Amino acid sequence: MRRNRDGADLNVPLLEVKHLTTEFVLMAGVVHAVNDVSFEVAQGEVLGIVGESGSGKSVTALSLMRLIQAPGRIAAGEVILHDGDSQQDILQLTPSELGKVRGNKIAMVFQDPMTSLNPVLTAGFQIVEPLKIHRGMSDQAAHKYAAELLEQVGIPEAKRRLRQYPHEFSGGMRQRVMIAVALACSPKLIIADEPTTALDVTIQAQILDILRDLNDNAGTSVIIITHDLGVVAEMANHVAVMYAGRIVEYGSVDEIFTSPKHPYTIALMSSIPVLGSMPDRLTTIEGAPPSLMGDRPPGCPFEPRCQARIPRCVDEDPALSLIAPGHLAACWVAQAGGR
Amino acid sequence: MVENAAAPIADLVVPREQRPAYKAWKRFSRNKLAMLALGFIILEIFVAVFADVITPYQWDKGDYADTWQLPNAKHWLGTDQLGRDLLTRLIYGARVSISIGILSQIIVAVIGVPLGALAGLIGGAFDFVLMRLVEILSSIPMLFFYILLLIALGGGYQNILLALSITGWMGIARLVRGQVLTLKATDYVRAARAMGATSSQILWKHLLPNSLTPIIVSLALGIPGAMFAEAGMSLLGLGIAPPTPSWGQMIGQYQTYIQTYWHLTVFPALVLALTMLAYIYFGDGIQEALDPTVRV
Repeated sequence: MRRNRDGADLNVPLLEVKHLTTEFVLMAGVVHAVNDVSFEVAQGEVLGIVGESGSGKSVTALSLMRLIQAPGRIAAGEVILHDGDSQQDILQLTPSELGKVRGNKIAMVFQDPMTSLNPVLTAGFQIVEPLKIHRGMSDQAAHKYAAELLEQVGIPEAKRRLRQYPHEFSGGMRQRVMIAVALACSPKLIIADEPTTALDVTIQAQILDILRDLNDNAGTSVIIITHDLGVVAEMANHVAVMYAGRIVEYGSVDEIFTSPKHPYTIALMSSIPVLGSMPDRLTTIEGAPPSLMGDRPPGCPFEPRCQARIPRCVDEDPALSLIAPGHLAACWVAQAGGR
Repeated sequence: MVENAAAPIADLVVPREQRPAYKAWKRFSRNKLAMLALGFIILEIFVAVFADVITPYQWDKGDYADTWQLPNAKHWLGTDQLGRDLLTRLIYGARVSISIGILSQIIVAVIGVPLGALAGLIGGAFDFVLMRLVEILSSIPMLFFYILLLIALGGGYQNILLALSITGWMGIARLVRGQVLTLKATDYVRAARAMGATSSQILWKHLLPNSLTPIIVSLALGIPGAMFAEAGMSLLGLGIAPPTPSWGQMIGQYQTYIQTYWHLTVFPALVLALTMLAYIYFGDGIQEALDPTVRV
């Protein structure tokens, strides 16, 4: 039985991602950015996806919304969205059906609030627009609701702020506006792609609070994509760790932080500096992630950087499999019960 | 909600001093040279529109008692070989220049903006074919093209407009295409798509409004170019046919007498030069005023 932090039931599925594979077809070859990624998000769940730059987190998020543009393409997989008893595969929808899902059932918050709002339109216009498109609201009703949304995300003087242009907002305020836009149609799922990366630390905490309140009060599911383990620890129920375009470890946030099993996750955890102890050098993971261009060499993609490797790792690629209840890892050593 | 449907939406109305157009006007009005140019342009348009009321003489009827007059109190800018008042003819010539300048840019915008936007938006084969067509047409020397076309179709107002429209849309189509391609990759367009906006909504709400500045600047600076091209055609005798006056045609006709009756050539050339200068400064002023990086 999967439960969230408050003990609420997390067994009603909302989004099921199965064998998602996204690649970019370039002149120089094919980049396998996302490789056979599967995970589930339940209603009311917060899933954290972590990984370093280039690990495929953002491409995964964009693929869920079918926002991948040429030369990228989703080569395989299913993204099943459950809505009551009905379910639909987002990857099979027609453009008009897709338009009804985007912004309405699933909304997205992007990384850089400085560039994610149209500079020539007022903040109000940009919040009102999805309400008119998806909800068919009148100008006036939509506007009234937009002011409520701005207040909900902590922007004072909402009515005056609605009339202002993006350049009149600070970075943190713009991200609040972005969240208000995402909230507009009360989506079932919000995908937040590094929502706090471009903001300073105090604002980060406030933005995360807004997302968490939303999850607590409205039961909105959240996929939060980040390279910041602190954000995951604070927000998520479950964590998927991505490396080289694949999920290498998945489990509840407690499991992942207290007993990580994949050597990559272990290395990530040990590279977090501990307050109070100041070593001469910060712990790093030696080497660099493999190139995702062309055919994948046999063996585990983390093998060259791995501290725990065994001979089998060189030739055989471990699949993501269960090592403990609710805890999956793609590692031969972890699957054999650890060192 | 129904009973309120017609009521103005107070929350939607941006206060005047916050509107981008108001701010742009503030910036523009601080530019003295551009304001002077705008004043000159407005005066010229006013004079051209009310030419019938303002001019004391008729543009096509000469006074044979007053031929070859140098500038004097009766004829401020003198008269020509048929005794026609030069100032009157210059004022009527302004009608041709100004209307060709503005009309040609309207036609250019109507053809070029949608084609460029579609090429940028759709891409693929349409984009490829259109851009190759633009490249081929652009590589033909402009003057050569005008001369061929006007010889084939004959001169006259409409054919000059046609020639200017055929050649003029390519620049703006390219410009708009480039804008659309750049803007398509911006985060806010991606965000709009993530919120379920359709391609046409993205085009009208995001791509075109953000391309407006370069479009306006290009059109404003295209006006003097079109005027100059008309003057060139008319000077060569391919444009506006006499007796209808046009500045270029007057310069061409009167240049034979430049050694003795200098005023006949110098004044049309001066007016043409001043007008072009005014439109260029006006265009520069607009460019500066619409640049969002300049703060008020």
